[in-house]
Amino acid sequence: MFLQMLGLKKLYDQEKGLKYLDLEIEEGSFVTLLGPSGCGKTTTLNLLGGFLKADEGKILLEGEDITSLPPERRPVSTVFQSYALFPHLNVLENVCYGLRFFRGMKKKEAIPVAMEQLASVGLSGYEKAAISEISGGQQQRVALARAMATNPKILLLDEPLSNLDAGLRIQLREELKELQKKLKITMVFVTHDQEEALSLSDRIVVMEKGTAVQVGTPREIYFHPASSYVASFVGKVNYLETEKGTRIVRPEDVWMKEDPDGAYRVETVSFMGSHTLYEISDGKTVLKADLFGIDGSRFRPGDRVKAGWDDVSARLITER
Amino acid sequence: MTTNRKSRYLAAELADRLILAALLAGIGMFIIYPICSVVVTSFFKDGHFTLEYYQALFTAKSIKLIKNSLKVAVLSSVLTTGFAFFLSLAVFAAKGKRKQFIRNSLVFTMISPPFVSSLAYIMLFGRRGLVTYQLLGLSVNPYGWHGVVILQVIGSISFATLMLSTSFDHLDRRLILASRDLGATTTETLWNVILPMVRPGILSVLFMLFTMNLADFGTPVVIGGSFKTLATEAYLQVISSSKLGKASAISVFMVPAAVLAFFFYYRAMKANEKSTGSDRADAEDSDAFTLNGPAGVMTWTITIVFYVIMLLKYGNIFLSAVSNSASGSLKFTLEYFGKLPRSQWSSFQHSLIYSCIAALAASLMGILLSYYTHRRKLKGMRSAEFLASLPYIIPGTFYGLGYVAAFSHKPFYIRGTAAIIILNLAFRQISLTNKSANAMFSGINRKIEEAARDLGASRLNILFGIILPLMKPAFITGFISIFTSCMTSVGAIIFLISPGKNVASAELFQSIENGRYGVASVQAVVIILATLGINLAFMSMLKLSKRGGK
Amino acid sequence: MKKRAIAAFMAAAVAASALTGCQSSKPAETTAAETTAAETTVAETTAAETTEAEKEADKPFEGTTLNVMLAYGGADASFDAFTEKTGIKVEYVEISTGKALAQLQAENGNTTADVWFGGGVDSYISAKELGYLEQYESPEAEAINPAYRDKDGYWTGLALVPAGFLVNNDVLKEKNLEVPKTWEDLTKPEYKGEIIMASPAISGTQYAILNGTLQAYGEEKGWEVWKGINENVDFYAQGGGEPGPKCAAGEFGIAVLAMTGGTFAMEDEYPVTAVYPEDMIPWTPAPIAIFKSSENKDAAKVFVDYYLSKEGQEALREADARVMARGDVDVPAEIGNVDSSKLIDQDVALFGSQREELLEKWEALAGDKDSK
Repeated sequence: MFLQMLGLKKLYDQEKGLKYLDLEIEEGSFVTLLGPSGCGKTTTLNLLGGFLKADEGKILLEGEDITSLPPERRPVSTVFQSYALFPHLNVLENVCYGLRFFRGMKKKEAIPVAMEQLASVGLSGYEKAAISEISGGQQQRVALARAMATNPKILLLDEPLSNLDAGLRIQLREELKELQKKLKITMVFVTHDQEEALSLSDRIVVMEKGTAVQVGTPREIYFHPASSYVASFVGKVNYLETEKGTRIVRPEDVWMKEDPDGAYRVETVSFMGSHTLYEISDGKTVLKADLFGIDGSRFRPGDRVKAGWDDVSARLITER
Repeated sequence: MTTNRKSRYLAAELADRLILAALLAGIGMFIIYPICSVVVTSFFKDGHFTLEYYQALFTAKSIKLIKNSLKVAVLSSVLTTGFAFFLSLAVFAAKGKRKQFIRNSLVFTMISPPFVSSLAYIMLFGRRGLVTYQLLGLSVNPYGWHGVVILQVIGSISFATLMLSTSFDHLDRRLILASRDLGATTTETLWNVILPMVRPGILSVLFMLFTMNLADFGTPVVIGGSFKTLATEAYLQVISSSKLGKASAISVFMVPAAVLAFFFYYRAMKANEKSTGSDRADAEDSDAFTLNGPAGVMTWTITIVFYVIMLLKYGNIFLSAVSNSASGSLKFTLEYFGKLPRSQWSSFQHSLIYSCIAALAASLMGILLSYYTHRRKLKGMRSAEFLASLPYIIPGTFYGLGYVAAFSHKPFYIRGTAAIIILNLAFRQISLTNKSANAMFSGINRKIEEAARDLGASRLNILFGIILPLMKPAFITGFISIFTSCMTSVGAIIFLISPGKNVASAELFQSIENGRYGVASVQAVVIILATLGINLAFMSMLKLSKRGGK
Repeated sequence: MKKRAIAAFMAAAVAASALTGCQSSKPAETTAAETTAAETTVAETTAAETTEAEKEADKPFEGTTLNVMLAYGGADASFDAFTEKTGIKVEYVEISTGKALAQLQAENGNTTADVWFGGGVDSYISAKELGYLEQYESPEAEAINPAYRDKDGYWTGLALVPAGFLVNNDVLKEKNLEVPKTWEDLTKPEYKGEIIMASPAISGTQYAILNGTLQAYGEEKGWEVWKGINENVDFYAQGGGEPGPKCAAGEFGIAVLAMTGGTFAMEDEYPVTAVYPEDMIPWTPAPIAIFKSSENKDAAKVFVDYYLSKEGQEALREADARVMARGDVDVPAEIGNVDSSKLIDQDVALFGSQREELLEKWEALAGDKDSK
């Protein structure tokens, strides 16, 4: 196995931090650590980067124990959330930095390599620009180019897209994915945004309060959540009590039909463009429904509807 | 209701204007006017306008003095800045209790009564020094330019380190993480990331030290021997031949250096404002910056040397106060306590009271000045800020004589009063708090005041309800530094004391002039302990306010 | 709320220091009271007839405070006796006459001080010329040699300060040097680097030495001698009080300085010997004068009269042993054997008129070791 984290633990005053993590990552895969703030995902990343010393546990990279290796000697590079670009150096110099120190190149050798990196992130022509002059999206790309220039075995990304506005975020997300596929770099990505996690990852590690509660492919996580925490963190969910136990039903699996005698009344309507979110109530329970297209958008508050779901798609959840 | 409100706002606006006017009037009256009074004397001889004093500056002898002054000032400031850099690194890299300990040591070692360090130096390293002669058997001549440089460095290192430390505080630790992440070792990170980032701060400290050392007359007078500088020349001109004009010309000559220093200071300020303080919470806990390698060795060596020197200095002063080493061996004695001048205790009380009042006033004015200049960004306030920093840059004696010249005639006759001493002390020190307030303000979001106005607060509400409370730490630290400075400074006020209105530092100076070194040591000890006491009291107040404030 | 706490704390601190201040000054007052009590009991038995009313009449200025600029080491110990006798309080500030003159010039003579006590006579002469002094010829001044006072009555000498050498026995022994006997001896090359003296531009005593010896040797020979001495000096001290302690500490083997009681007292504590030069003894009068701008001139006159009276001169001599200006006051034993025949026959008035010219010549000679 390419990267192994065995029994990793790092705590700050008893409660916060990482309580326990066993995780294996294949070479060339894109793994996301997903969870809310305080769940331990950033701590894990910092342990991988070498910025924190673990209380217990080991990190093995290609079989070698790198747990106590300092950051400057680890073949691991990080793209920080705030990019941490050096303000006193221009774009090219920033990208050259790792080439000079990690790969030991002289300035002359480093420049052409850096230029290539800039080209691969689409920033040719910006070499001489000052950091303060370029946009947020461009800064993120410089940070990426700078980290990748060191040819790291693992690239760590700490919520790199959260500082960008929505449209840019989606665009860069796609570029990142393409880049990863093309270069086959092993990436460990940290985010609290479930859409990012679902669209980018080969595998997702859902974390809560310092431990991993589920590890799986995006589809596994979404369609077979291991607990109601996972279920409600990734996507929206309806909880239904039946004789056999609690069932979860995703809103997109709920169907609605116009029926003046229908058991449900439409309470709220949120038009989202490609789909519309409804909350419908039968007096006892409130169901969330997600309908697509123009037909799905026709219901109004107060309408009477008949609603139901595929029994097949309703999963049983055992609370832990 | 609206008319009531309106009048409330108008009254507040008026009060705000009055405060500003009072501040400016104070600066005009107690800084500009005295300085001008004395500068004017450099252009007049026996009632006629003349440039001969300035021409005299270009004689061979004067050129030599200028060279001497520059040589010493450059050396001292460069060396001090270098040491301050490594000491600041030590503060930066240390964590928790150790960090606090080093910081506190720096604050306490700023308490340095005048001249006693030079005496301690002679006693330890002189021809019959305890270290050089008794321990090592050498007979070294301590007098000369090297003595001056050494003592100027020792005297200003704590101050310089504290100033430079604030630049380090503004460093984004994430950048250090990034550098190490990209393969740079600690030393490489130091050279390629940290040093460039704190460079504006370094320049600012360097130039500040340069002007301070250029204007320093106390050190060369005691330890210079035959080595003379411009500042000592100015001082001696005054006290030996009362040639105020010549002394004024020399002092005026030192102002361009000050202007340059101010310019670099502003650049540093701007650079600090730019660097964003993004969330550093994680980085604090990580071992982001461990000091190892050659940089680490340098830092810890210098830190240890610093502590050794300070222990020697203060140890010597305390020892001299209670012992007599005349007969070659150490005899403990309390005789000096009996030889204190009659006026010792009343002078000491005066020192405490004057310094307290001056420090309170100066600290407050420094904050107000910073507020009106940098927050309200009123036109012309930049110049006011520069003028307010003038007294710090020109030799103290010069500033003191200005007060003598300016306030000895009606209608401004306040000579011989306590007020003149307090005013002189207060207005000299405004720039201390001013600078730290500036630094503090740059870390506070401007939107706060806009939000307050949006919610209906008047100018006064904002000033007293938001600005001053937020500035409490700057006020208290400013108070501590200024109080310490007032208790130990003597240059400016030596001409302002009058019978019945003497202060402890002047008494100390008089003891030294008369060769009563034992008594001087006792006086120094008293000053040190009292100042230390007040410092501790206010520092604990600072801790309390920090806990409560958040 | 915090502001109030700060204010309260400060008030407490100030009050505490005020209290300690009151307490510490009490012991000093009680010892002074004891000695004066002893003196007055002796006086009372001889003047038993004096009635209470007459006693009060002797103190018409009771309650006044005089401000004194002091440049006479140790004199402050005699002030209490004066206050006891006249009821006039004395507040003083110790300030060298050079500095005092600078201050006077900056204030154009408008000083808050009433009396100038001791220091360099050259400053007094300058002050007289600038019109800062009040003319007053005390009745007591008749008992004082006219050579020791201003002919126009603007200042009067309190004491004579002779000058001489202080040698460190250990240093001389170590370096195999002989004790210098004359001023010309000081030019001997073996003393190179071992002599310390103050700058004549700053120290009144040193200026007197320079001017006095020049008057005694004559200009040509005088400057020759000083040129020789200058060779042996590394640098000139910037204060009159420096040479003594530095010699005592062993920094230098020979100090040229004023010979006061304090100088001789050092022999008890340090390995030093005070030596009067055998060829000529320079001296300077330590004067007293009243400032023209004083608002307490009458009380000041009482002060001057006291210190020129036999009683006052003896009290002053007790405070610091010197040769007092009054002829009928004995020379104190502590200052050794002053051969008064060797005291230079000099014109003190020249101290003032020649000052600028002399100091210019001095600077030309010793310029780089000293500064004007």
